[in-house]
Parts: sequence; structure tokens; C-alpha cells
Amino acid sequence: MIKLILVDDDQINSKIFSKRLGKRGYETEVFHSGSEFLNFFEENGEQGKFIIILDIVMPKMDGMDVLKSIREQYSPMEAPVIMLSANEDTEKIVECLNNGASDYLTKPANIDIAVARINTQQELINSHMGKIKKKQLETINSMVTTFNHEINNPLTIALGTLRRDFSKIDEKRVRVAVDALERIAMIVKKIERVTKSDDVEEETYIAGTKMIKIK
Amino acid sequence: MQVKKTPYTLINDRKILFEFDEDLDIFEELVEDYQGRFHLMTDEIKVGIQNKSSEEVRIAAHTLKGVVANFYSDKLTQLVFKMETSSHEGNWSELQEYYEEFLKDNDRVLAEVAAFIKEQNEKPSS
Repeated sequence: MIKLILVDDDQINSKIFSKRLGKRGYETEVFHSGSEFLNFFEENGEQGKFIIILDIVMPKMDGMDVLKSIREQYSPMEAPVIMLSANEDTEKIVECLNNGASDYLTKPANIDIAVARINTQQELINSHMGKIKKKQLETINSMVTTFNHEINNPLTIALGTLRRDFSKIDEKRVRVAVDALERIAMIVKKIERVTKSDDVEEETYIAGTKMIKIK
Repeated sequence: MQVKKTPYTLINDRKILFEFDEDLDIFEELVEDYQGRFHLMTDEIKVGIQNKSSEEVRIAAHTLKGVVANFYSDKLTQLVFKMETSSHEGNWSELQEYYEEFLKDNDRVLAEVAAFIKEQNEKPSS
């Protein structure tokens, strides 16, 4: 389950809010300053792991600064941030939403509204992570198809040539086998280059199956 | 026999009941925490006024407002809001007046909150 992180300098409200969310089955962790939270997040941040509920007005480092730091590394789908504000902070709320906040709650937060908004963010994370997982599986499938296609052909030639009667083998046939094996070695290097590049280009192998373009 | 309902003039008991319906135990804890930290929170405002530090008062009043809002007392919440805005405007004499008025009203609000909790705890469970 995704963990809720509360960042609020107000020790009473954050404790009470955390308890109320805990009663509804959420795991929560509370931080009382932006810098304390960012230190934690620097080491433990991971996409899809946390939903952050962040107070706007805090001493020293306010919620907006914390939000900007989070957004330098994580998108709203990877680390949703729900801003916590007083009713009259309309301008600040709009500013936060324009800077990547996922949603907001006004103080004192109604627990049912909070739960509904948290659940929405949780569903968005699940959908996003599901898409990533699907993409990863598609990439693995493409990679397997690529290996099968690119390596099987020269491998069949090399093995077929070498499995012939050795008493009849001539230099020409050895050359064919060596060429096929060298082709495999080159393809392995090309595939290695693909895994190191930032972008993977795919092409259709047969209908419904893709393979990775290797150059 | 019908239990006579306490008339509340400063807090909105219906709103508290609606908001903390399943969490009245946590509401009681909130009141205890507030009483425990009250002097610490108000001293921050007092010191801020003495030092004429707008930012100090603004942050402390903002935090106080967040906690006080849980009692659904329009008057008390408005007083803290006024402290927040007058500190922003640097109106120190007005701020001092609001602060003193807040201290007085806070006692009355807490008395009503205590009566509300007692009333809820004495209610026969359904």
C-alpha cells in the first residue's frame, strides 16, 4: 500500500490528522519541516511509493519551495502532492496547482474529502505504474523477439555448416561458419548499445509482435 | 426522560459532531494537546508582538488558526485571522487588542468544548 507523508509544522493538527487517517487504514509518517522531509525524501523517494500531503505556510522553507524540489525529480504521477491550506489562501493554492500540485485540501480537513482525494491520487498512481509495467513487458517481449530473429539465423548457418561431415569440410565452409558467428558477435554488441541508449525504436516483426530496431 | 441540551454560543457543536463523528476520542485528544501546547503557541505570538516581528506573528497565528478551526468557533477563528492580518499590516496596537480578546474568548470556548465532550460521553450509546 502507498504510504501517506504529512508535512506540517503544526504538531497538533498533523498528529490528529495522521491518527484519523490511520483509523481508516492508511500508513502515515509525519514531518514537521520542509527540510526534514526533503532529507528523508532524498534517500527514500521512489516513484509510486508515497502520496505527500504538504502544508503551504511553514516557517523557513514553505510548502511551495518543498513542492518545487519534489517536482525537480518526480512528476505528479510519480509523487502526488496534495497541498494543505487555509480557506483564504486561494492565490497560494492556484500558484501551487500551477507548479505541479496534484490537489489541495483546506484546513481543518474534512476526513471524508481527504480520503476521497487520497484515493483518487492512489488510483492515478496505480494506473501510471500499470502502464509502466505494461511498457516494460512489451520492451522485454520485443527484446526477446529481436534476439530470436537476429541471432537464430546466423546461428543456424554456423551450426549447420559445422555439423557437416568434417572429412568433407573445406575452407569455404569454415569461412561461412566464421562469418555467421562474427555476425552474432556484432549483433550482441549492437543490442548492448540499444540497452545503453535513452530511446528504443521498435518495428513490426510480424502482426502483433514488435522487435527493437538495431543499427 | 429527555436530556436537556446545553446551549452553545461560541462553538458549533453540530459541525464538530459532523466532522468528528467517528473520531470523538481523537477530538478529545486534540483538545488535550491544544491545552498542553497553548502557552507555547500563544507565547510565540506574544514574543512576536514584543519584537514587532511580522513574520514571527504571522506564522504563529497561522498555525494557531489551523488548530482553533477544529472547534468551529467563528469568533475565535476570526480573532486569530485578524491577528494574522494585522501582523502582516504591522498594526501592532490592534494586534495587541485582538491577542488579549483571544485569550479571554479562548477560555470561554474551551469551557464550551469541555461541556460538549462531557455531553457526548454521557450520551447513552445506541
